[in-house]
Amino acid sequence: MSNTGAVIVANNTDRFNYVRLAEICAERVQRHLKIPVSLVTTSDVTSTVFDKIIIMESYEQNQRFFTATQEKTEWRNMGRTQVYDLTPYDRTLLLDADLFIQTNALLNHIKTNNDFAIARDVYDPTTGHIYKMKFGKTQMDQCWATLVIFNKSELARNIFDMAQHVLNHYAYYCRLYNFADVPLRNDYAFTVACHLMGGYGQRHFDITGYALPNCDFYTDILELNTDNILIKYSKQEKTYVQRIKSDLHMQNKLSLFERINESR
Amino acid sequence: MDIDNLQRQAQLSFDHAIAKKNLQQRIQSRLNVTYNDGFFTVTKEQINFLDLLGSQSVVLLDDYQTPIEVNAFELLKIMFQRYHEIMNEWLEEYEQLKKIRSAKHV
Repeated sequence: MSNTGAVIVANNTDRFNYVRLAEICAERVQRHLKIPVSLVTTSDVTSTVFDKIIIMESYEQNQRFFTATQEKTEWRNMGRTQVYDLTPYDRTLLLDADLFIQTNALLNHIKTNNDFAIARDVYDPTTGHIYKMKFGKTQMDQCWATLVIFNKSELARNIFDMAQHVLNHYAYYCRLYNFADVPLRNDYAFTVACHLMGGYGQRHFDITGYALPNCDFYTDILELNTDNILIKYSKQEKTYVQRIKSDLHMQNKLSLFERINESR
Repeated sequence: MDIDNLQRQAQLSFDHAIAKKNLQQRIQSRLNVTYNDGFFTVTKEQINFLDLLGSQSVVLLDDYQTPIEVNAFELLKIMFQRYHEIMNEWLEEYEQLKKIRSAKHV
């Protein structure tokens, strides 16, 4: 693999240390996929974990509401669309800091040569179901900017540029596709971009054969170990535990950061 | 561990069926190979088809619908090896999973 690497975008907030989370994520990527990892951030960072630390310009903050705890927190999730220009690699695995790589399942996807692929199928480890998240009232399938693989290519550039265009005119696209206008979501921007650049849905850009393992806001982490994560979830008034050894995207940041802070 | 923690621990459950599905999902996501920049899921059908072709050079569509020129024998060898490796791992982990009787053993 010539000049292939991963990029994580992470920005600290007053409450959460996303850069520390990115370090944990990067260590796992290096261990399982054997590729260098660069960090894109607006924060002032010194870390030996990353191949490169790329500073991007600061931007307006976003806010996120956690339904499970009824809390509103600062969310600095923008900047993903700049990764096409900022990545130091010819072939890039772009991933969220809260996506824990625990297998080499993505390795062969990285080794292939398609210009752009994004996660669309999702696997829920608490139900054992693969599903597609629906997007707004159009009920289109949502793409997940959590996981994108791309080459420096015309197609990838067009999709990233289109996603940035959607973010720049978010109110318009919210009305056109009928989805909630807050918070600003990269997932939605990339979903619209893929829909438009794929000839209004005629072409899909899925990472085939890979369903993104995802735990929702109601799933807690009991243990965050080097090669597995012990989760706790409730179903029909019972509480269950599962030890997850696959890759895992954790949406419950409150529980995630509790475990990270404990381990320091 | 205090009594509250012990009680909470005792109330936890383990769902064997879900754990089996999680194992299946994890293993199957790795049941694939790359060849000439193409991405191929390893299936029994694909193995059989390649076996039929012998040592011919042939064009196959990969999982991303890209036509890839392959040497059937070479790809068969790679797929067969991957199939064995992953299925053996599956069996081994399945046997371990069967031993889990309750949440405290997870």
